[in-house]
Amino acid sequence: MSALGIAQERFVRRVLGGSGEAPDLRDPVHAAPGTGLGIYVEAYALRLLEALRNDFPGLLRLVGAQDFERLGRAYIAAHPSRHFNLRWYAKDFAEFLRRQEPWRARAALADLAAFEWAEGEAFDAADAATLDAAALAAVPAEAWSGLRLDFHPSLRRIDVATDVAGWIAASEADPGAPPPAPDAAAWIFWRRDLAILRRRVDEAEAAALALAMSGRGFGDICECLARMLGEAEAPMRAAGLLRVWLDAGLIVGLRET
Amino acid sequence: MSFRHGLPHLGFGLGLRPQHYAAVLDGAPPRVDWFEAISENYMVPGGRPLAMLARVRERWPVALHGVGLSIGSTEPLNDEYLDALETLIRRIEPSWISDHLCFTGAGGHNTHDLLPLPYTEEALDHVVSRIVRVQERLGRRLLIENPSSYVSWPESTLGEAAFLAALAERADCLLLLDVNNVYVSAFNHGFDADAYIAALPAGRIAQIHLAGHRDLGTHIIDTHDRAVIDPVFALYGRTVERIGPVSTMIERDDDIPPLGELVAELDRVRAVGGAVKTVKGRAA
Repeated sequence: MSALGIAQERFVRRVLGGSGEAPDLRDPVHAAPGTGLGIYVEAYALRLLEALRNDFPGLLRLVGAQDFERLGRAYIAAHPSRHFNLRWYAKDFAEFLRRQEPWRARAALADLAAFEWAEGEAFDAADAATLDAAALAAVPAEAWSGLRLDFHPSLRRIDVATDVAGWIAASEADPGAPPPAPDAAAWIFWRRDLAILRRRVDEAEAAALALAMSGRGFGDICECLARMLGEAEAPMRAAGLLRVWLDAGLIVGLRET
Repeated sequence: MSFRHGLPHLGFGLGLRPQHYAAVLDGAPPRVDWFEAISENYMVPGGRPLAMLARVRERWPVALHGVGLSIGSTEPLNDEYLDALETLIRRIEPSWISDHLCFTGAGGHNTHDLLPLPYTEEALDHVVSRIVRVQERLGRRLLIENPSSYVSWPESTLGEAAFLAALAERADCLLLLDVNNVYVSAFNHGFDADAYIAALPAGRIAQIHLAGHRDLGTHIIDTHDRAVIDPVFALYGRTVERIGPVSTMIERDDDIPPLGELVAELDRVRAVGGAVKTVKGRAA
């Protein structure tokens, strides 16, 4: 490695809080030794903490500033930033909270982080023109079974174990609202025009969406619903879901295979 | 127009910040001639950020200002970054694009900070070659900004201004002169701010930044969280007197006030930067 490369590695390792040979750096002329490097070290942590605060305002409200900084600094120590854009820094934050002691004992923390990250992803996902119900009229009867749906790039589906949605609403009115109660549910998030929307989905819709989002055909979705709801109810529900998804602006393409 | 290498004098601008979208777009147009957008904030797939930037671009010239190119890094140029920047350039058709003389990471890690380089011949060769490659890829000249810094490298054999001057000539790039950064670094490292600016190739300075900072007595931190101070205004005035009118804007990244407050501050910039000595004045 070049002398320049070695110098850069030493500098960056220290900025990230690591040890190893220190870079040979000169401080501001009037400042105490170590001041200059210290500014970069602290700026790194503060910048990442600010990114986390911006991405997870609800979680900040739930745990308070002091605990948020603690869990933020733990994440920063475990996940040094690797991407050029701070926008993606917190992508593993929910998973970190789900796995890491002591926070894993409070499922609401990871749930809320997953909720807010999904909202963030819906916020600036790619744009796409949505289809309306009229598009269904063009599908030939024999193509229905293999019909695949292309969803809006902003659509996210997550599972949570606690009532984070209820807590968000309650805490906005009352900062002292009790923490989210247990309430396992699937939620979807998407963007319509520039608004971010979310909706709780029941077990059947969650299963149907999971299949459809993984690229399975409409026939497979109908079979899944038949197993869950019975042969009699499944066709109506499948048609109903398709209509709901189209009306909501979730579908951007129909592919006959 | 050979001065500024063909780039226009856009006048007096502001950094585009999400807090101001409504004030910029929904009311009477503010007294702002152009906007500078942080490239990385818009290097996203879609949604509101790009929609807002596109609406601003319909009505104002926009320059793209990057913080993540890491032109001084010894790691390979980041193709993902350059792809995203190219996509953004195609969408926005900016007046120009700029980034900093710095590196932002090493060993696969990113500090999201503008780390200063040692100003050596080795570093100069390295940065020149990378600027040339990026300019070839993007099909346009880059504007390279002088960073503010809190450390310097004892092995430096060139001053920062001499390094930038050589860089600009050899890479045939342009310069974004951050007058506040010059003030901050001049205090921190004990050099003369006016001599620094005088050492830069005037004709290659295509844009000027102004910003506020935090003076901690023994050193100054470039915080962009307050108004531009009088000594920086004075340095800006002497700079414009020396090099002529240059597109100028205010950066504000923290404790962001209402748009009107920044527009009022920009009026002061306009008064200083727009004043040109008359022939009589020069003769005197």
